Amino acid sequence: MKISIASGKGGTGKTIIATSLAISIDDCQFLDCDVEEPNAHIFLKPSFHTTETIYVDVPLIDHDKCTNCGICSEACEFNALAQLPEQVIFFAELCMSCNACKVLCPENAISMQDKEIGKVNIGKSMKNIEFVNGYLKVGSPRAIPIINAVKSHIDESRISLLDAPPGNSCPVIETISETDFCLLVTEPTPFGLWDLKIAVEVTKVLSLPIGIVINRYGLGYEKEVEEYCEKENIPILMKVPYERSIAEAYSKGIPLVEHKKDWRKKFLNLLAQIKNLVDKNG
Amino acid sequence: MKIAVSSTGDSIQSQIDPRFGRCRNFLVIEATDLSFTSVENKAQFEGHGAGISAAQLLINLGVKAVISGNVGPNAFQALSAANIKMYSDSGIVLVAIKKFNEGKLMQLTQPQKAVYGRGAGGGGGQGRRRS
Repeated sequence: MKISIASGKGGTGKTIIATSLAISIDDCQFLDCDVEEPNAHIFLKPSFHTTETIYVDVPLIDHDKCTNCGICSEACEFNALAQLPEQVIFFAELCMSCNACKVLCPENAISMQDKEIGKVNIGKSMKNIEFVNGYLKVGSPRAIPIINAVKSHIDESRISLLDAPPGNSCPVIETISETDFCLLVTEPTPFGLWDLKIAVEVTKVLSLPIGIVINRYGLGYEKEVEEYCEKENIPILMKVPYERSIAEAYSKGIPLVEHKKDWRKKFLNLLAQIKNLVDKNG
Repeated sequence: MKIAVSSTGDSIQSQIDPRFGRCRNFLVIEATDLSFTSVENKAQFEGHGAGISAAQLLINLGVKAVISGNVGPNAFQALSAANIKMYSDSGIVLVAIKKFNEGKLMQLTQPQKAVYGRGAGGGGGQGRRRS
């Protein structure tokens, strides 16, 4: 079973919820899909045994064969190639590896070469958590291939928790797509609710069953969040109180269920509710 | 000598558009007699790489110099590789051309920070904490 954890707004507590859920389950996989700013390792403290380097294809132009016909730059949907009077120039950071330039070149002057865009680490955490995270190389704008590489480690026979990046853009969609359930972590603020609504719309398009965790319960905008959930018929599965001691533990990298040991039961109950909703969804 | 000026309108009295890649129009002006044509900048609607696409448009038109507010890194690289000189100015297009003819315009020797207009960043970054 694949459970993704997303939020819309950043900083609502995706990682605090996801890591504590992982520790409570213990026999599971944890995949940190926030490859631009991975941070789950701070709480789960894995030891890594394998690192993979992730590459994408980019064109390499043989200038001896190139006749400057301009077909490749014309074809490039991403403006990664510019045809100058006497040469073609290539802008690697705009390339999406579609291969159109290579396929269309009448002189066979274009071959594809590997360009490194990041790394994926695989390791073990706690007693039985398989931990995977990805790092997008600084300066590279393409998070999706790294997220895919992280997701390629999903073991269908286990429970996999996928910690999504903040926002509602492509990397989030890539993370939560084809998961069995999306857990949305929100906070009771106007900003939290605003972005939550967008996240809910995204999960509707992807036909994902969802449930909500309200973190920092007590901040003041609870009524509005709860009314929205009721109207939309979205189950609220857990509430985490707005408490200074939780924030203090978090700031020291202490997972919620280690700070409050009795919360393991609540997280296992959260998992049971998720399982129920997944079963109901068929 | 043909000069392209990024412009907010299609008259020689229009204001210079400070953006290069996402300007509305390019006025392609003959520096000697000030005759000109207005070319719609189709690159302004690109999701990605508007600067490169606009540079490609001007390269195809055979211009030798560009006057704009800012020229971002990618467009700068494409234009300089094509030996097109870049100048920075603001205000009325006609005034800038006169200044150009008198050699009073500042030539850009390095790219400015990219200025993002519509479609910035290909839709990424929503909800991202840092941006």
